[in-house]
Amino acid sequence: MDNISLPTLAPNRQTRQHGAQRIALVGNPNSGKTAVFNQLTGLRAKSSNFPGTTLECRSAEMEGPAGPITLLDLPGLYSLEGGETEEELAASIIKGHHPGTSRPDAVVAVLDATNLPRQLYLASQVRELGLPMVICVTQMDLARAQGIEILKETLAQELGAPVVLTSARTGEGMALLENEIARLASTPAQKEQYEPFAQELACRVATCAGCTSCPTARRHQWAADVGAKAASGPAAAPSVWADRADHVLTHPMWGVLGFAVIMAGLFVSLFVLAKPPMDWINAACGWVGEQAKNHLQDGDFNDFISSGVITGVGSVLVFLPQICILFFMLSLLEDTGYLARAAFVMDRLMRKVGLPGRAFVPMLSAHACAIPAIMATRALPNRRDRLITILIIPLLTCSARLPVYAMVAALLFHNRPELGGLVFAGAYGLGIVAALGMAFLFRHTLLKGTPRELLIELPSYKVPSLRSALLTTWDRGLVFLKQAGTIILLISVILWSAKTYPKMPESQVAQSLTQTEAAKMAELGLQSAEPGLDAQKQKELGDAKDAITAPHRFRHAVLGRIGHAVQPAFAPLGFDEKISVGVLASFAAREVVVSTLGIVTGVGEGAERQDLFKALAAEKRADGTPLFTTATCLSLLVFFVLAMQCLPTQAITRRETGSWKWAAFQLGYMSVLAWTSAFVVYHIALWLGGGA
Amino acid sequence: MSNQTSKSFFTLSHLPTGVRAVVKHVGSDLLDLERLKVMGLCEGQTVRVLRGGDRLIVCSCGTRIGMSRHLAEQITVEPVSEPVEGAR
Repeated sequence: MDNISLPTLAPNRQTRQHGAQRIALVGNPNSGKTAVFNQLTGLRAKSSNFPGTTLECRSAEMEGPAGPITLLDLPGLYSLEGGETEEELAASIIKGHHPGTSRPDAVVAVLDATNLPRQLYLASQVRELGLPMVICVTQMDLARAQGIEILKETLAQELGAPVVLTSARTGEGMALLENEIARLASTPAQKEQYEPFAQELACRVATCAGCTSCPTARRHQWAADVGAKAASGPAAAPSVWADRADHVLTHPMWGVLGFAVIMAGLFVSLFVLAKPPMDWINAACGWVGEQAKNHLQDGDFNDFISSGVITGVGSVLVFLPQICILFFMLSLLEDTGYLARAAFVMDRLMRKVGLPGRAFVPMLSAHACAIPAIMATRALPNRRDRLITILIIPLLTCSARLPVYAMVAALLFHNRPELGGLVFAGAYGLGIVAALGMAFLFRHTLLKGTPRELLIELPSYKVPSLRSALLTTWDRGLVFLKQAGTIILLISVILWSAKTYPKMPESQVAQSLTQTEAAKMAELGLQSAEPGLDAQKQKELGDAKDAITAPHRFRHAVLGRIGHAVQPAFAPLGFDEKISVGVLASFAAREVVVSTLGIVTGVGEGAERQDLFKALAAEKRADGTPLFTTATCLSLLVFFVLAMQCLPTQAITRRETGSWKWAAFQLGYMSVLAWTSAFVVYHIALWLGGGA
Repeated sequence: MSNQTSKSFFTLSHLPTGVRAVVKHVGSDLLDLERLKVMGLCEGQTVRVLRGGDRLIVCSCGTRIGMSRHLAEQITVEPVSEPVEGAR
């Protein structure tokens, strides 16, 4: 075949006096671009949003010969024309059309060596832009294993740019690539304006359907010809193994079954592996809190640090292991090529409620924590599909609900703990049904339309890169920690203040005690006056006194007063003032209800769980009837399954949707759903005799 | 066959598994038309169905692509008996 010339030099040239300072990595999805970026940048990479968007941009500073170079990892794209949200954004940045983002000075085009013709389509379009360019042919280890060799001189000649053969997995060629990047950065580049091959192709593809000279087809043909010239070896990769794997993993029945087994394995290992580090974090936060309490002078500042800041941040930090392990395992799965198959098999089921198959993985992640799940919706290219998924994710049972379910299970079945599993199964089931139901409703009302037709690349199966998975985990963990360090800390401070202020004067505390409480206080006072008591006993007596006065102090504080004011709104659900206060306190973080109920019932904030559950089971209403009847327990359970009681999730919803409007809507619709469902369940349970 | 547009033309959804075919026409009223084309499902390209059914897997430009039957119904193909360079 003759030399195929795609771009031809036009006479006009623009010259830049300095070398490239912003260099973008461009490539097809699944081309191995991010692995190359990770190999080049390691822990230096930072995640932020592209200006004016909620789409994530990863960038890193590298040392160049003439100062720092910023390396950008742009979202994968197939073409510079059209495409989904992320692809459109990447194309507009490369073309210099994205407001607020300057055009890269140079480009590293990453091409997958195992499928060169396919990758050349985009490379040809990027080449036409005239930006200084280096071609990075990656996955060379896999290509050689398949008998494919790349003729780099031929490829360099065809594209008019230097070619480096690399493998992010083995590190092959990475030093050469760094040299080429340094060369781009040090050479005052001539910006070459190429013959506008693209203009020739400018006729809309839609208008030339059926014409064999369709520009897209011609570009594909060019790519196939150049690919055939530049790659020697078998045209087709041996795919018997992949065919067999796909035969099972994409089968309508076996594929779903395989998906269920893989995801069950993932979640079991997630909970098992995360438990020890979660226990360590809990213990460490407890120890730090205790140290602060012992070493700081008694008073509000002591309480603020030990109970407000350390407990508040610790209660969120404890989920860090789950988040890291989840992202590590999802990253490994994605790298193997399996996640695309999972989206393929789940598409049929998900489409029935108006969601694409890809929405399933974030929904599954939500069973660990809604925060990483909402972050994982970035894989959904269509904005409406993504919005619906973000809106319904908090309905799925996250780990923070488990202490509440454990409490309700203990209250409902304190004599038959073996039945407690029913509470958990029912709550998980209710969350899933509610999420799917709301997705269906949103799809047919607020966010009308049909989900995008399934059209997904199923990448080659490969051994996952541990390094890439670890870097992704590091990156996700940092994003989460930033949240914990900022907004969650703020929430903890606000919640502590609302629980503490205004303070009840000591004289008023004594007046507010009931006769029984006053008698108990007097008895404790006598005991603590006994001579020879050790410090431990004194502390225990002090804690017992605090537990008696705590409910009264709490009711005097802002949160208690608001709880009292809103109690009539919760009365139809069977909640008395104590439960209402607990519910209100848990609007920031649902697990807080357990400790708050400990305070308002006078058992103590840090009481052992079993002691607390026993005390709650014995609680009475003002009229002397039992408080936690079957009807009240079921109502409370339903409310906690469906209510949006997690401010950090709200903050993430705002960040990912770019607006408080959606976060407010999420809070609103979930609160209405929770209240209505709890009301219905409470009254059905009463009607069935569950009021005793 | 109602979806057989002429004697030797099929819609991709009706192409038997394993048979190679050349894309002759891609429906022009589709939101996903451009994506189909840049992913290699455009006129003149060779495709092969690896899995049929409600959700298909086709091989085009050396890549496996999962697609809905609805999309596959919009693509007209002509089977080829000779192995075609570039189709995998």
